Amino acid sequence: MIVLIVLLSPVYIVLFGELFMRLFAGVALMPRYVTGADDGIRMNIPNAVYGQTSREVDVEVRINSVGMRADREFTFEKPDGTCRIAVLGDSFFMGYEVEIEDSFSHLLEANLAEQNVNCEVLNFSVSGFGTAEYVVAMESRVLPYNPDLVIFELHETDLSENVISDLYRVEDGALVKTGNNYLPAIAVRDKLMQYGVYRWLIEHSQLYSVVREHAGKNVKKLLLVKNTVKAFFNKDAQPEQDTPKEVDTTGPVELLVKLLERGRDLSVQNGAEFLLVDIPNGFDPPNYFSVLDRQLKDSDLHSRFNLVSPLATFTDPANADTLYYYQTGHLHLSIDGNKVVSKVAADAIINQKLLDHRTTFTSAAPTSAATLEE
Amino acid sequence: MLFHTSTFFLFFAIFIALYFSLQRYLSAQNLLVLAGSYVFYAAWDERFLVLIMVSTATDYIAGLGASGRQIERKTALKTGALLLAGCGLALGWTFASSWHFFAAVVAFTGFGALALRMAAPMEEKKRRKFWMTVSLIVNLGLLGVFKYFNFFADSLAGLASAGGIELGWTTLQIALPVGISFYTFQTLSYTIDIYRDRMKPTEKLLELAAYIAFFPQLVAGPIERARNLLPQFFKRREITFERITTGMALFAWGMYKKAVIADNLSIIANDAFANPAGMSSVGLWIGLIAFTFQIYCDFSGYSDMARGVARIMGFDLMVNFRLPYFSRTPSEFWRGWHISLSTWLRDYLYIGLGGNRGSSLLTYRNLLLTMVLGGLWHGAAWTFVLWGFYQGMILVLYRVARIDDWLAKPLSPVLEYSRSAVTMAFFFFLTMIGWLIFRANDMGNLSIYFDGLFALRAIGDTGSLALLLKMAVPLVLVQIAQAHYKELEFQYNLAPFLRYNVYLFVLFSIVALTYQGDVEFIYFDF
Repeated sequence: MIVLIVLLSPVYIVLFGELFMRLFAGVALMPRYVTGADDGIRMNIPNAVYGQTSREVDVEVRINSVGMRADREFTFEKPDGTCRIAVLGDSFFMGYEVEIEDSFSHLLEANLAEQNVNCEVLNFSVSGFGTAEYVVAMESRVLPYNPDLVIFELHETDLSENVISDLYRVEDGALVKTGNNYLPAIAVRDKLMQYGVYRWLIEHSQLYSVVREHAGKNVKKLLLVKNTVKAFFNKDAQPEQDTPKEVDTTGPVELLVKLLERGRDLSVQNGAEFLLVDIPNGFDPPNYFSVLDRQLKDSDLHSRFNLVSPLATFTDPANADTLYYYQTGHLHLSIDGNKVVSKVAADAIINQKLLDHRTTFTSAAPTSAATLEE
Repeated sequence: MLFHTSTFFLFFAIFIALYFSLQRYLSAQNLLVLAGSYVFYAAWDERFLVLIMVSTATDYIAGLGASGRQIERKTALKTGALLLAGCGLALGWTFASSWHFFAAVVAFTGFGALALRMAAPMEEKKRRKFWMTVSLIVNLGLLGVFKYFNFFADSLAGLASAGGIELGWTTLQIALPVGISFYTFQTLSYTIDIYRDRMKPTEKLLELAAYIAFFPQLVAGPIERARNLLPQFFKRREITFERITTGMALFAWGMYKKAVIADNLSIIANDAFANPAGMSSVGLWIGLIAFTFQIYCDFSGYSDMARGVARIMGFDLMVNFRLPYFSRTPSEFWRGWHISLSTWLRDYLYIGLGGNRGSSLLTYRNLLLTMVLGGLWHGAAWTFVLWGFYQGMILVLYRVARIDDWLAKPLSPVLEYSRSAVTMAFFFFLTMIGWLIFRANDMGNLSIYFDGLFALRAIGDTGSLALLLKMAVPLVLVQIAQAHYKELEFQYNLAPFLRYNVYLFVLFSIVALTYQGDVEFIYFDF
């Protein structure tokens, strides 16, 4: 009897947990289909198709053959008369919790088309990415597509993600590549993904989803502590440097600014413009806030980068009833949120003439704006 | 370092491993408790450790003095040296920015030497009184400067301004040290009890320091009397499997109350109190009920976690909450709400004022004064003073109406249940109004909220009702079971299968329903 109880207890606990989650918690199912790539960072699993569900959404995510969230393929060669925009971000820009037609990249394309600018927007975003991974991906994945404009997402989590990934460090005031890879839990995940049971679990088990999120968060916290301590001792070991006064020299901020500068320089060197799009924090609507007004408030990014933010629209009292972030999933941008972000980005591209260095993209007639209207 | 964060779990895992390994060495274990407690407190602000050390040194000497002993030169020198060394260590790496704290401690030590010189020639009775007064001045002085200075300065300036006089001073930029109201009351009780011959002073500074800084209850109580907790530092603590498991269960239950119920309900309450003018009356009632559950779960949850952690370590802390919302009268309520504070106020303030030994009018005055000061203990704001006055008035009115006497008269079971239900519901309503005063951002906010509650403004804002019910119903069911079994840890009366299902429910709630934002414990501000 005791043996039976011991054997059955784990099964009972799992069943109880799953039932509890479904009855009382309503946990969102947000599986991540990522694997390791040759450039030492994560990529979306090519050709993956999976669902994401919460109490507010039920969407399908489709990945193309090279790991972009897209319903089509792109060649390295640009089609004639079409410009190219490369988008690099995390799950916000990847369009988690919205269908592809409502994602930032698609809406941006539609917005530009409305203003007679023929552009294809290539979405290189991967959930969990930080600025350091954008820079790595720029060199290995984006530049071969010869973009005319590169867009980086800016979000509060970048500050910690860049430290956690430890792909770059600032040494003697300069950005240095560490030579590390950052493939968190990818080996385990790749192994598990071979099993149909595991794939079923990640898309259907709310209990698994909760456990995975907790484990992920705690591992990240530990990595953050480890790398912060490491950086602290490295800093102590170095001789003191004269640092430019306008740069905030606190570790994560300085690293972020340097990475953004690297992204911008890489773009310019390859004939592309560079745009930074701020994604405010949507945890406590309508009290949205931007990292620009907090940790980065002394970094003066506005004068150094082409930078736009939807914060003014989000916090406009007239829009107080609009839901810009879904609240029952993983706090990603809603359809309305994506619309606002893509609109401010498109307006910035037009107003700041970020595509004017290549003037052949304007079509005679606007292409369909059906996507936007949907 | 909050109890329900991974930082605390990491800290406690390391601490408890060391603690268990030192089980055979009592002094070393006590030293570890002291060091761990200081690390725990320094996680907020290491500068304010100085205040705890000053309070400890003061009451160590004052305790010995209040017992009538002459303070030996060696004892005084040792205490002064340890105080300076401890402060130097605490401020060490931030000395450049916090040197003024150290300078203040040096000056304080100088005043201490002066006090010793003054006390030496006094006769015993006078000397005992002198040392108790020193303890009162230092502890209440710390509380006055760090908690109440700005409040009284602002209030005086406001009063003068209303009279046409502009006072040109500016208030000090003083941060409120976490838990100062708790540990100053705790140290005060030590010296007062010695002065009243209720206990003997300790000559062991280490054990006294560990008692004052004992991290499970340092920042939000229970306010442990030295008579209960201090002796536990002098005997080997019993560490058993049963104590560890029941301690963990208590901790988990407290964490459920805090991280799941209180923090989730804070969203509803915060919304309601942020804009009471824009909400319907129904929305405001939901907000107020949410706060009523929030404050209970926040504070009693912390107390349960504190007791759970202490129990794992082999200590027994007092029960701080005993089903207060099932009270029929204010006297029942205060026997169940923040028991460590209400008994402190009773023993050291109410009885000190004369208690109920004089005429009825004097008793009412004492009740009112005790409750107003109790209100002020909770925070430096007029809303807290008003809340204290409100609680005092309720106590007086129930006393005048002799409700307790009426409730003591037996009735038939049906009538008894009916009477209990009606009196309980009515007193719950009064308690909620009290929490409205307590939670209001200011007097204007209170007035708008109060008007809104009874204005019968359109029905609406009911969206948060589901969340309120989801959080409150399991708690109420558990409390009914606690009342039924007349035991707070009632689960041991349940059949094992049912008990483990309760555990699973609590654990999965913590895992899945914990609020993800930052909400500190309400009582940390007190």
